[in-house]
Amino acid sequence: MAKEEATIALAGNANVGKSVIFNQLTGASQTIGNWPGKTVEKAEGTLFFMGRVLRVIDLPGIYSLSTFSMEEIIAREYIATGRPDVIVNVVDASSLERNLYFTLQLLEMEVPIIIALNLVDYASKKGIRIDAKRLSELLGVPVVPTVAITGEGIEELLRTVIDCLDGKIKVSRRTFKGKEVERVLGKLSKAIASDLPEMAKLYPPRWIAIKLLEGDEDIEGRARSHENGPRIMALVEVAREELENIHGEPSHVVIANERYGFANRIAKEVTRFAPAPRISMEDRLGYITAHRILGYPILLAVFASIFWIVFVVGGYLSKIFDALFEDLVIPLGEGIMGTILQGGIAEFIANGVLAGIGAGVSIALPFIIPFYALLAILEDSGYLPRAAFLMDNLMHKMGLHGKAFIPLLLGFGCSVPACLACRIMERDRERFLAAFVAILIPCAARTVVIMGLVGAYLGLLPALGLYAFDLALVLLVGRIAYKALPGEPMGLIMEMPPYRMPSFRIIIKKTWARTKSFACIAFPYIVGGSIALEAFRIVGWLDPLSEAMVPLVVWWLGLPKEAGVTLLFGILRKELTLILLATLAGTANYAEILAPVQMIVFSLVAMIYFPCIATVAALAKEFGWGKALATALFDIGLAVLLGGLAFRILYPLL
Amino acid sequence: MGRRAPKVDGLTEAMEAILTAHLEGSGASAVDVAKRIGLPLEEAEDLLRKGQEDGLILLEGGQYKLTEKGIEAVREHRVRFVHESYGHGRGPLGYLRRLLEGDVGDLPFHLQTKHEIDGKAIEEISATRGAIEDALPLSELREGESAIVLYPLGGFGLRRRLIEMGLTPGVEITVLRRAPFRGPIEVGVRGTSLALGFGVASKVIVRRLGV
Repeated sequence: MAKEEATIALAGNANVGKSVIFNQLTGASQTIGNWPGKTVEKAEGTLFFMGRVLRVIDLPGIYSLSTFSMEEIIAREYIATGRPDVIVNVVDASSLERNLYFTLQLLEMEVPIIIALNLVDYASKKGIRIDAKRLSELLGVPVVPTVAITGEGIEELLRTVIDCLDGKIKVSRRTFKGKEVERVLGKLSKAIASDLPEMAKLYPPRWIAIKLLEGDEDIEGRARSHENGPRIMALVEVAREELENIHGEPSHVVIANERYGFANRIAKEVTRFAPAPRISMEDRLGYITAHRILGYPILLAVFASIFWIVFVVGGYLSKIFDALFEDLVIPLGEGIMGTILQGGIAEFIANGVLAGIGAGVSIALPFIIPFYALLAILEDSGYLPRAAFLMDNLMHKMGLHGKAFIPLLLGFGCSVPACLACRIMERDRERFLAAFVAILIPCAARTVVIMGLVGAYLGLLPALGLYAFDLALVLLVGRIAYKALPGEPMGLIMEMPPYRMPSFRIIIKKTWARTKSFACIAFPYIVGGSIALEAFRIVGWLDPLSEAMVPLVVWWLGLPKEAGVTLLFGILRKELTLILLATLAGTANYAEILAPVQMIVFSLVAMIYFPCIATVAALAKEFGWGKALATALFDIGLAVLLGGLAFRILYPLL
Repeated sequence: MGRRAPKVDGLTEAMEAILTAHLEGSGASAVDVAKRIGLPLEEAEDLLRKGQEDGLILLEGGQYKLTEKGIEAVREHRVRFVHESYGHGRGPLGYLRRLLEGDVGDLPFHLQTKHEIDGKAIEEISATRGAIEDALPLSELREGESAIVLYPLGGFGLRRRLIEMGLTPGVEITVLRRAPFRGPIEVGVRGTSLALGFGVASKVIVRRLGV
């Protein structure tokens, strides 16, 4: 009797439909979290099949098992030490050679593998037919053709998983290296097995030997720290030299070449090409959307329509949520509290907790949800890499590459997901740099302030000017930060996946999962901050605070005294600055409170001065509190400086 | 039209040819060498004789080989070529930069510290098949052109990444698209398409095909 509960890990390149298979397998049971201590997303779910409980883990989409990015390290460590019972290697049938490179690396780890040969429908449309049986024979592992999006082959895949769990399928120990390399590896792995027993328990000795020949820093470091390390490393040196003499290339190139050589041979043997198909719709779309001239207006149109949709849908949802909250939840909450607790406390909770939740529900969520949905469509269709391709040049001015365009774009919706999206950058330096500039992008809440004040009272042109100023500032600050942060910039290396039709179900699921994770990060801080400010108000600290802020707010920035408190509240949500100003001044006609120059200065400061509390929380989550607070302080300083200067420059003009 | 660097003497070219033949494991008789460098047999033989006199080439059983000194000379020539061609950028601006820089002294050291072309890369350059003058950065290919990857330059991390993504020495690539203003370049390799930033693409040294 095999064990009842088993763990399946999904592994494979990016863009092969891995997450679609994951969704098909786990349905609604999935949870999205982080790998312990790392900012890499970990998706998990469970399913029941043939009386078994199967835990499914979606590993990050990667191209190799080296230590280039955090994703790769995590996937590798999980496969080696997490000991999943089966690994389902999702492979793109339309690009077999590239995908087999990864499969061969998995085989090196000597773990039980099943191949899900995915996208067979798409491949056959391209005129590619794969002989799954032959592929299985060559690799020595089961191969199941699937079309993840329709669910075709998923049941067969699960049956094969069960067979594998029942021990009906053996681990493939086939080796895919040339004679000389195998001889060298054989010698080396014998030495490793006897000299580094602790490591050999964690990883297969042959795999350690391969990694040492490849010059993998992580494995080399661990081998070196062992007492027999120097002896092994001396052997490795000899082996490297031997390979380099035979092949005339560094050993890491020799090994990569061998893998690709085999991948190429296997792919050739199992692939049958049908007559060349006509140029498909997808190809034509791919051609035109990344065109050197046409690509840019298309990019602009795509994003303009996204913003338009987000603001129309978001504004509409916001009104509904707001009304629901004001009319239903708050009176209900107050009513319940009022009967249980004393008046003062009830009011405190109503103002603090409910107002905090209300802020999140009525301002953040309405814009976040449509934004996430549209982003998922862009992501799954394959447009985002095209956008990154077109924007690579501009991003390089900030020491970033094209992929950083995606978090910047998200920043227009909300800074929190923008911070989280910076994970697509490969290294910590680029991650932080991207986040640093992304939070300066005017988010939906800041747009509300700009449009509600400058746009409504001074006209659209000054509002757009403010917008343009902010974007220029993003470029400038990005450039300065890039020069100030130590380290070399990194170039773009990105696969361009073909266009594919996104699935409605997957879009909904993605949107839901991301909205949930946004709420988890942002809401506790919004509510907490709201309670704190309410407590300040009750204790009577607000007036002294605004008095204390007079030198800064009135003398330097040239704003009315009330603005100080509202800017303080803006930490919770930026549009509160505007709403509170009306409350404090007792009128919603801002022309009575602020002169035109004050409107501009106020909007400018509100735009730059502090990423809201939820953003700071997101920054802290990704980069630690030190960097988060430093960033916040920098932004406050920058806003105060620019606000004062703007006042002095614009005052004589207006 | 094969692009040739302006000043390559025939002897160096012949030595390049012998090295390539050796790396490919094929013969390097006088006829082979003449064919490789595209010269009449007599002229090639003259060059080979001169090489022997200088102690750069030796003849063994009808096959030409490079002496230690010869290997060193080709190596130095290749490294110098790579530096002059890619180190400071090509064209007049690169020339100007090289002039301003003056004598660099130890070239391999200079390459490593200034251009991230380290010992490993130099080894790869030394082991390249075909004349070094036929090598050019991927970033100089036009849309639609195909090439064979010779070696990726750059730091170890970048080089390994490129190799993992399929740009191994010897693989054929096609430039599918170029973004304007030194933007990224999309290349087809091993059945997939890959976008490379301009800086990355200029570190992948290739040999143009089908010209």
